[in-house]
Amino acid sequence: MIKKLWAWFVEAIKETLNLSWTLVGLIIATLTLTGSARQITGLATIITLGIWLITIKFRK
Amino acid sequence: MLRKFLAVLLLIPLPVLADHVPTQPAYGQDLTTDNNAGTITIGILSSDGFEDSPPENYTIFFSGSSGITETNSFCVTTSFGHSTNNWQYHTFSNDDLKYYFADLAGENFYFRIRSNNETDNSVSTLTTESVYNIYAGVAFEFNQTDWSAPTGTDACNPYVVTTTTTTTTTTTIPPAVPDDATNVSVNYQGKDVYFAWEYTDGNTVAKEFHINYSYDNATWDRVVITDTSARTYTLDYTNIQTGTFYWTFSVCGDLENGESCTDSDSNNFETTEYVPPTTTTLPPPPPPPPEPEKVEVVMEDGSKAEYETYEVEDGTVDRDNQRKANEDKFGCYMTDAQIERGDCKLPEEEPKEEVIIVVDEERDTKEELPDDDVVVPELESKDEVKEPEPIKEEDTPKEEIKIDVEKIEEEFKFEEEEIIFEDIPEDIIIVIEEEVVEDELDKEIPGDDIIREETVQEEDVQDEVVQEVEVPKEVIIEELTEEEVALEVAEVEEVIKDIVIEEVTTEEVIEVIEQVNDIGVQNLNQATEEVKEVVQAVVEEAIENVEDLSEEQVAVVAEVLQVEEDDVEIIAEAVKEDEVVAEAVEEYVERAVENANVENYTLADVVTEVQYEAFLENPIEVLIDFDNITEINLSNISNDMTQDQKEKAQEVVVPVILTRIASMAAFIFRRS
Repeated sequence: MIKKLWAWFVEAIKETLNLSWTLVGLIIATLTLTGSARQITGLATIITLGIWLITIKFRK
Repeated sequence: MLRKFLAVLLLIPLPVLADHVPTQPAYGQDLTTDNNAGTITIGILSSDGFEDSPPENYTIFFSGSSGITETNSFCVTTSFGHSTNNWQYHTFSNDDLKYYFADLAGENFYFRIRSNNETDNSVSTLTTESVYNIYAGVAFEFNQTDWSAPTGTDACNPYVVTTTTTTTTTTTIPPAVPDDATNVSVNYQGKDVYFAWEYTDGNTVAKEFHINYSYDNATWDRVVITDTSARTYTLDYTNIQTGTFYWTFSVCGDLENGESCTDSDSNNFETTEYVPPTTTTLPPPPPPPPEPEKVEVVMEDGSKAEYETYEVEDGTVDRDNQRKANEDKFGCYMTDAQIERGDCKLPEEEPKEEVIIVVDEERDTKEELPDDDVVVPELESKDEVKEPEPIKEEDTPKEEIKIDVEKIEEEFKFEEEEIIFEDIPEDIIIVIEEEVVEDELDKEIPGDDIIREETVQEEDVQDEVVQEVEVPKEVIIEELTEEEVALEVAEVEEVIKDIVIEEVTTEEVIEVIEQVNDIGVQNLNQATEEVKEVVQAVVEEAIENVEDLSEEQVAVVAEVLQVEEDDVEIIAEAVKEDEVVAEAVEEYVERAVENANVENYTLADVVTEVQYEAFLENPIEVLIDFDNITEINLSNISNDMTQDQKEKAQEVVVPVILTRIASMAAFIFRRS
């Protein structure tokens, strides 16, 4: 179980690194927004990233 | 046996149980200050209590000079007494300190403490002298000019040191004092002052009566009445002035032989200088000036009116003709010069943002327009430019106007100085008649700059062709020369000079912002820090009280923030809910000045900068700041963003998405 988790963790880091430029862009976009738009964009970015990382195996 | 004896000796700590002294001094002392309240607190650590007469109170001897003894310093006695090994505190209030010291800021405060047991008539020795340098702050800056040091240490209660002294009493016979006069009365009826009194000799025979009087209660005049049988005295009105009349009545003994006076009574009352009536034969009044010669003048509209000769000569008649003509034409009873100046406010249709100078080079308006310039503030709808109302040539003869304007300028110099650009609506059409078709406006009219406005008007007085030129505001600001910026900054400073931020009114706020708009907030880098701070505070004040502002005032605030008018309200709301926006507004002026070289630098840029700084400081907190996420309504999302902010965000978000799509496409392309 721990081994599986570790493998997923390593994979998640790889995926996140693959998304580096996108994440940088989204963070910059978030910081140019204010109010509700900023919150929604930030939340959507985090939720999407979470879903993206959870569904690594499913997508492969 | 010897061992047992030694053991017993060691077991009983005889010296420990012994009293140290009848009354021990405090074991410790310290001093703390409250630099805001301007108070001093002395801490006193009581002894271990092994004493016959523990302190009932402590006396603090203190001074601004070192070398304190019980007799060369001030002292106060505490309300508390002994409390074994405990700290207790006595506080000198600010008023206490003012009583003892003319000024304490930065001065040394020396003190020693004595323990007192009044009951047993026992006191300790004084503790070691401590010194503390008082904080050189406002709270201790008494700067008392009318202050004198209290004397002695008698105020210390109880001052319990009693010694057996042999008192040598020397009885000195006091000098003889005559008895008081009685029923001293003063009567004043507006002229003389009448004194009356009763007196009967007692142990000492009176030698004279003294009436002292004064009008300032400081410098006294004295009337000496040597006739001791007199019981009345009249002070002549020549001695009476207007003011408060102070008086004392004294009975004096033989002053030459050491006897003294006794003040029997004193009082004061108001007097008025008496002016005796005078009979003067007045010279006959000068003959009245002759009636000015009046001339009957036929006005241009055919009516007749009477004028004095000088009025005909100084152009009053001409001006009245102009006033009547303009009243019929524009509904304003004003001269042509006033109309030109824009004093006549024509009814506005709807305010606009842009300054439009309409140039129509093709039209020949020679026939329908007069020779002189007429600047007519007029509101136009966006897509429609109204033609100027034709003005008949005979109404405003060219030569006459020129002469009249000069005279009127002299006559109404004060009014000219008060020309305010506010009077010209933001959307104006400047209709200029030109003789030379190719002539163009070589200078815009930024803000309310009188000099430029006059220059432009003077230059274009000879023009006969109507010009319509659209001039965006940004261009106006960019074209300001260094001298003009310096002039505008001086104007801003002049306006700000009398403003107190805590008491600033809406009108003052708008006035300052209008001045700043004239120059452009980014050009404030030539202003002093104080000016920038005041402008910043004024902008914040305007945002805080946006609900109190009229539409025109909101437009002024919008201009300084470089946002749409509707966005001002959004910013005001955001300031209350979003710390980032609040901080951005607070720092707007400062950052705008710092980024003077950045084109189109607006509040949105400041917001972004502030967010980036917050992100760099604490990235996680900024990204997961979802405080009011449940209150967000997806249907009106981003309604709390200004238009400018949305545009700036689009400039970032769209390229990000496009870049991502491009990279995905490239990836897929490589795989295939």
